[in-house]
Amino acid sequence: MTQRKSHIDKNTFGRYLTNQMTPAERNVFEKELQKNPFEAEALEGFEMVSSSDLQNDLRRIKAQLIPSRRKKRTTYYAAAATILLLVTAGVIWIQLAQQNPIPQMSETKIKSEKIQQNPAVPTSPQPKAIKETPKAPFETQAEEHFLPAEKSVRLAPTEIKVATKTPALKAKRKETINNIDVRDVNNYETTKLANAKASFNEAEEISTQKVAAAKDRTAFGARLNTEKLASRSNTIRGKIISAEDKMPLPGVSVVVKGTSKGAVSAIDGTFELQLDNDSNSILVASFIGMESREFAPDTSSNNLIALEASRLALDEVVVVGYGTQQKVIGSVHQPHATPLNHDAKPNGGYTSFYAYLNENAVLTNSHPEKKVVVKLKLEIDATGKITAITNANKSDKTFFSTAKQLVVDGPAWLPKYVENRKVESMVKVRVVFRKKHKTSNPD
Amino acid sequence: MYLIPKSRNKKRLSDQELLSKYLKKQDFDVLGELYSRYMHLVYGISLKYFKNTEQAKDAVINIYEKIQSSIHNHEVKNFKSWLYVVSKNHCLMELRKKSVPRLRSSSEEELAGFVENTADVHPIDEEQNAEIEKALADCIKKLKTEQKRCIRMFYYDNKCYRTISQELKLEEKKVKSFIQNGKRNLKICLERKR
Repeated sequence: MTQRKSHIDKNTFGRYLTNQMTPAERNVFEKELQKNPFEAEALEGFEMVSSSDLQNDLRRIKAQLIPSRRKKRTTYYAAAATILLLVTAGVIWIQLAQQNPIPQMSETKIKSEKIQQNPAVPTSPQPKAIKETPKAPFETQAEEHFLPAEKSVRLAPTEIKVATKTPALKAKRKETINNIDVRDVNNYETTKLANAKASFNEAEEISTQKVAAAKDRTAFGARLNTEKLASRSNTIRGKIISAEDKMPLPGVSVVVKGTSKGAVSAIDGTFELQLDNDSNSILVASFIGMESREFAPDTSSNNLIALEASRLALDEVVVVGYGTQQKVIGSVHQPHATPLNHDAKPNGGYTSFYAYLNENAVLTNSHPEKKVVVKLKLEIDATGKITAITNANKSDKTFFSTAKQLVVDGPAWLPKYVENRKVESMVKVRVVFRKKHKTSNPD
Repeated sequence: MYLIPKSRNKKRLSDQELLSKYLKKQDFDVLGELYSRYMHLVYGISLKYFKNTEQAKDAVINIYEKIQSSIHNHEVKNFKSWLYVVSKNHCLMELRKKSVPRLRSSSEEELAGFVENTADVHPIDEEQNAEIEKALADCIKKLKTEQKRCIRMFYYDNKCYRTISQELKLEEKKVKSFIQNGKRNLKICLERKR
């Protein structure tokens, strides 16, 4: 206690200030304050404010300043709760996703389940051989489905047609498979695989077709077999090459004409397309810069398409230079060496203008005066347009207006040129009205 | 001593402990706890300088922010005294911003004088010590009357300012100032004696 300075809390201050302390207490308090300048000064401040306010103020400040622990705790709880909710939601979502798996998977699952129901049959050498050939995983799966079916078919008495021409064992085996009529299989299967029939057919078709493809590569004479297969399966395979250099073309688009079904050739130019059953479709192979080629697919795997370069290829671009062209500096081409400078004048010149005026400025013979002179001031703008005509000699209104009309109806005016520039100007025109029998002189 | 409050919280740590805990963990809760112990004092001196509650409240908050940043820059051994200095500085700076000349004089020397330090504690406020007692007693005799009486009553008779003021018919403020001046003179006297 002697080491630590005694801590005077606000309640003590409160009591001191509200005179709740005894004199002895006060003395002790005051002595403490002598030692503690911080408290001393604080007391001075407190003495300015009434005590009740003090307590409230302090409480308010504290609440404002220092968040209560509860608040922090609640935030932690809130955060924990949110995380829990998110995790739960995530788990539920995953569970839902698992219940709706990819259709293929489910169907094959169903198939395999149902197939397994079929009674086991001792394997014949032929199915074994099929198994031995290397195949893609899907094929093997399909085959597995197929094999039990085959086995099951064997239970039912069916005629196995042998239509092969080549005596090769491999071919034979394949034929037996091939010749197992889809229908037979179906008949058997409908009883067991009512729902999965269609998909099973497809799988079977694909598998048989793939088996065929595998065989074809090895045995050339199996062409006939594939043809038989083709009647049921419609995967078109081929290779696109360039006509010029016989190199394979990757990225060639092969589309069934009229549809959006298509494939793109691989890096080695080969492509593979699934066609609809028994439809006579035409395929179109197109590639940028090459002529598109339509072809009826040969269902053999050797659809070899050669694309020729497009005739509409862009011509070479040749750049021709014609030299530079001089810019003409200066505005008007002048016949004279001197710059253009003239006053505004009527088109055609003053001579003809006055001739025109005299022709038209006529007095009646009965008019008292010999002649009437109307002086006009014309204001001509930079385009040669007459902007104003004023009466310069206070001539008679009628004569003025007639004179004015004559000028307006007369030839167009060229504006004043100063150093080749058109400017506004003012022109004086004297219209003399005379009696007809005399010819007047221009001014 | 009843002035030391009984700890409500069993986990009541010392200032030093709280401070080091804060510096380690940067936990604002800890700093808040520490500040809240002296917040009333900060408020008090803010009131003294600003003379109005609104400004004083703002100051309390501003000072809190100030210590949040500067606590890392200084090596604080005694939180209370450091807080005292910071608060006082803040108040004076604020006042200086508003009206320039007024409080200049009181700032620096007072601060220097008031920074609490064991060395600065007046002998009369310290714990009793025989030698010092004797020297003190001698010096007190040499004091001026009023100062002598006040000191005697305050320290030896343990009377509060109010009582002293009533008895001596002086204002409390006067009593306080006599005690202050008396202490100063005693200090000088003791110094001379050593």
